[in-house]
Amino acid sequence: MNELIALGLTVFAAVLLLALTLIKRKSPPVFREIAAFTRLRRAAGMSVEDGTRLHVSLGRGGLISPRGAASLSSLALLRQLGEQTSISDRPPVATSGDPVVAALSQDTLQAAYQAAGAEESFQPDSGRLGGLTPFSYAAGAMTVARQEQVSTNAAVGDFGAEVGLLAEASERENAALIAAAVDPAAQAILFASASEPLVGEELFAAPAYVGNDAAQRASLRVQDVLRWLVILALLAAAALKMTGLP
Amino acid sequence: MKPRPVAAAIAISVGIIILLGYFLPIPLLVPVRIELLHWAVILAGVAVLVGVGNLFSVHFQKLRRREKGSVYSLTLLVAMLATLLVGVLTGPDHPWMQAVVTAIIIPAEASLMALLAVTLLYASIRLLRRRADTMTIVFLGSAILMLAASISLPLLGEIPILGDWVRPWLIYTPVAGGARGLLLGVALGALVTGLRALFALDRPYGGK
Amino acid sequence: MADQFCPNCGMPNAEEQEVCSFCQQSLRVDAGAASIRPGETPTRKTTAELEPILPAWLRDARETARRADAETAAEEARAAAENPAPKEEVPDFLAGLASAARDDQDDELPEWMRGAAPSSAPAKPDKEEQAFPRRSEIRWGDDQSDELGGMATTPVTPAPESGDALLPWMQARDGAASDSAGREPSQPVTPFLNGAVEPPHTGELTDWLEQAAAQPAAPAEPSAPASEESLDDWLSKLPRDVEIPAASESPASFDETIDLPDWMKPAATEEVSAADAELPDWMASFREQKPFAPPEVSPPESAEQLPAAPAFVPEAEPAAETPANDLFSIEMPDWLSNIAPVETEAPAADEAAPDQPIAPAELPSWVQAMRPVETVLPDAPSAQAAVEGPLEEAGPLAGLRGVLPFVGGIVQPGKPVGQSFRLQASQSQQEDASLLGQLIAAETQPKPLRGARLFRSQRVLRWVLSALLILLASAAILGRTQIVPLPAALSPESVLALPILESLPNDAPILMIFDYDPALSGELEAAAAPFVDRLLGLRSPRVTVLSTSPIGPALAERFFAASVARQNYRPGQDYVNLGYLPGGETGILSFAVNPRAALPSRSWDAPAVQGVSRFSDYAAVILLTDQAETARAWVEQTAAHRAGHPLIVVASAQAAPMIQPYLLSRQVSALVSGLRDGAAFEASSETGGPVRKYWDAYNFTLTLAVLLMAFGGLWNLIAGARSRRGSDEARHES
Repeated sequence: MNELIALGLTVFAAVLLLALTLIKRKSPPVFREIAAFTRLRRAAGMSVEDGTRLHVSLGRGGLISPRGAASLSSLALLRQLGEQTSISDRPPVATSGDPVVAALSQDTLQAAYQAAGAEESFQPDSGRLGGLTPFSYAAGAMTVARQEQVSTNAAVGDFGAEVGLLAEASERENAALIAAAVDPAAQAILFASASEPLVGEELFAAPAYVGNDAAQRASLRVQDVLRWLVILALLAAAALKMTGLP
Repeated sequence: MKPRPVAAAIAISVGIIILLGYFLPIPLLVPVRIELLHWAVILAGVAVLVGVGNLFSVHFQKLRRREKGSVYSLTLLVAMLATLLVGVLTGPDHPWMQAVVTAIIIPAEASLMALLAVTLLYASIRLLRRRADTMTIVFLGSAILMLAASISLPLLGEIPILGDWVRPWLIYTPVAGGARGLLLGVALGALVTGLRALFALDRPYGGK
Repeated sequence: MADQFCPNCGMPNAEEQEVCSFCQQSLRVDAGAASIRPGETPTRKTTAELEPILPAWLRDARETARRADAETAAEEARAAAENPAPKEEVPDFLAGLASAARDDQDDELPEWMRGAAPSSAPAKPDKEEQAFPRRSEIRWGDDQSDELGGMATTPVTPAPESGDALLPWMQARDGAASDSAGREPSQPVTPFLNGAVEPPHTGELTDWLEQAAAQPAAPAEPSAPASEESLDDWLSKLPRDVEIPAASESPASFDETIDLPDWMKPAATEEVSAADAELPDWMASFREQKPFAPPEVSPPESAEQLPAAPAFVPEAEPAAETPANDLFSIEMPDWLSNIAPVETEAPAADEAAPDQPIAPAELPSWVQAMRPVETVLPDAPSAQAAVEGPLEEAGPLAGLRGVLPFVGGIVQPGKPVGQSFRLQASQSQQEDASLLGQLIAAETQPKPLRGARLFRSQRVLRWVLSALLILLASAAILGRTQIVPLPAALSPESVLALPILESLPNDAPILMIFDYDPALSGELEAAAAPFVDRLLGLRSPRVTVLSTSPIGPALAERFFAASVARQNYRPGQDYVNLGYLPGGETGILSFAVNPRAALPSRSWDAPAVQGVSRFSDYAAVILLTDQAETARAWVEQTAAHRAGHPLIVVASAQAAPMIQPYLLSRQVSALVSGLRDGAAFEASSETGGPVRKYWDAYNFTLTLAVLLMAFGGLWNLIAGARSRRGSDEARHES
């Protein structure tokens, strides 16, 4: 039974995603303003203008971990930011705590440079592995934040409590920190220490807000639809439970 | 750069096979699915070596260019090579390896954790100076309440009412409900993100 | 990349969108909204189109002038019909300017400058050029289509069509005389004269204008032909039928009635002859001029020495002899040098025919309005004073007397009075200027960075907090205090582990997974040690150790060597460490499907894993983790392969809330979370353990942290509100 429900939900989401991606509307749906993404876009432009660097932390999770979706979303965001800042004197640096994500971050940045027509400016060490354990990864990310003229740290991905160290390093260097995590403990830490924290599933909206991809926007709308379905299902189940019906 | 249709085709086909094999008990898909899973395990293990190589390369370049902090890069490179040598030669069960873990890795990471505790305490104290809105006050108040409910006082033990009534209610009612909501939202986001990768709408493997 | 950016908020939007997704503003920019586009030439505008925006008093003036102009035009038409004015070729010394003006398509020169026929319309541009609107030139003439409607027009004889561009009053005496004889006197038409509009009061200079406007303007008497007179030829061209009012007032009385500036007041009073009274005073002064003796100027002795005509009048011989002409011989413009000499008789002596009044010239109204008062007041004694002015001997005014008013005493020998160049600015203007200066100065001043004092205070606070926590924890640990009692009872979620332990068979294979970070090894080891110690002591199971983290196997070895050393579990015999399982969830699923295939190793031959070939062979799975996601992965991937065997999770306190839903849904059999549950297990086992060593220090530091957060947060709340209020007040004041 559970497998059938899961299969049905997956098929419905897939159909809806394809339909909303392919249908082009002149009046698209309205997305609420998220100040963190506005600031991130502005920070990307400012880093190009004032010759500083953008540091993108992709988190410690891998693609095949339970939080692989967060890593996928952070890679999509890295692609958008890489295209926007490829012409900077100091190109962006991406750090991660997973070897697979580190290799993919190199490939993503290279593709971003190629898309922007600046392939010759790509440096392979722009995508780095910070460390194999969370706190060793945090130590590596802190080194980048403190030694490489970083003006803005974008920590988007699978983080744990170690993100607090990255926030501390950002504050010491007077750099802005725009962070999003899926772990509730990390979200609590970021709420207390980040300049612009993002809560909940706003992490998955990052690529849609920073860039302009039809598939990203469609996925936001699919999430909204599914969320409403879940809400209705929960309310219906609670009502049934209260009335005593099975 | 030309798009990579082969990579996209492989990603899509493998994703569909694994997904279908999970939901539908098709006998033909089971061995294929298992074999693909083994390949993924091997590739993940190799990816660790690639990541270590990337780490070595970055710090070696930093040392070669004599950049700021290259001394620490030298320390890292020496420690990495030494640990690799000992582990390859003696094995992970050897007391030397245990000594490296016990004497270096665990104390270093535990120190970082302790540093995090001070950092979080400092950030909590200054939170209201930086941002004094309603949600911030609620956040700080709930944190203080939960910590206070976990305290055991000398000679008294757990604080009455806080320890035996407030804390369990907080954990089982608002915390559990909020946790479920977060898990649902993250799951929906993961579902749609996975579908985007499945349909090649999102290609983390590069290409346009 | 974004296809188009919203002009309002700057966010990216798809190319086909018309409305921004973020701010709901239109993405299309109205092409016609821009009023000025760079690179384009301005659009020509006519002044009449701008009339609605003119002030009311100006509109009234224009309307009055149009009416008066219409009347004047009618009169002129009647006069022209009765006395057609023959055209005469006169030297047009302004023809050069006129031809240049005609060539310039953008400019519209007035007719008197253009040298064109009055009826000819000014040259208009061939095409409608995109040009900024220009102030239209005032056309003096019969062109009723004047764009301004002829605000103050005077029926001036237009400049001749030919190359001669002499003004009418400069034309040959004969022609002028014949012209002027037959021409009716023309009245200058001004709106002020009619009294329809009051001129703006601008100061003392306008008083005499007002006086002049109040007095009836008597037409000047036409002057008799003065071919034999000693007058300059250009004067003979003046209309002679204009009556010049006699100057009946004395200068003193004149001064009493009209407050003239000093330089305009007459220096001496003389009687004005009757003949002179008939002329405008400033004209009569040219007849009887007494040298106004500046010390350096000697009046000429005889009339022969005087030039017969002004230098710019064609009688060039005397002018050529004067030394002053040398100044102009080279620099004279073409239109002056090309003037053909006109044969005129030398002016007669001063006493020759002063009786015949000179016909006043038809001056433009704006020239008439600027004339001194004495020109319209025939009795003004200042006219005589002007007559007695110095005789000009050189330059274009050679032979004229009293042209330039010379008032004795106007030139004060000595140092001129210093003039103040101080800008007259009001108080508010000075304040605005100082504010602007501050703004500009602020832009050039470097902004100070966050003060070092702030950084020092932050660093000091961090050091103080660290010192307090370290001192308190060290004191409790080193002092081995045990004043804080351990929890008496297990938590509801950890109680569920007891029956599981009771139900396990002896020597059963169990799987222990070490998936936590080294940083949290202190908490996890302290939390798991009492429970695992009880399990190992109760049922002596065969343990298979596994980890999905590279450092996990080492942590497992440390755990068995230190935390549960009391049980003396031997590697290979009592437990097997399979090592690192790569692949995350994929690896977990792979192991759950076929453990031996997922981790092929010689360790599978050890006695500890005898009889284990499938995942379901394990009697229980015990997961030590600090992440809820790891617990979720093991729950989800092994649920179908556990065959109902229990899964017990020992988690860090930070992960426990997220594992609660799985516990409540029975996907996790029991949950031991954090130091508290470890202490409870330790208290219930009565065997002692690592928790007791840390329990007092844990509670003391926790209490200190709560107090610091509460009071420090309150302090910063008040301080932050004060600083924000102060900055708001400072901003309002500035």
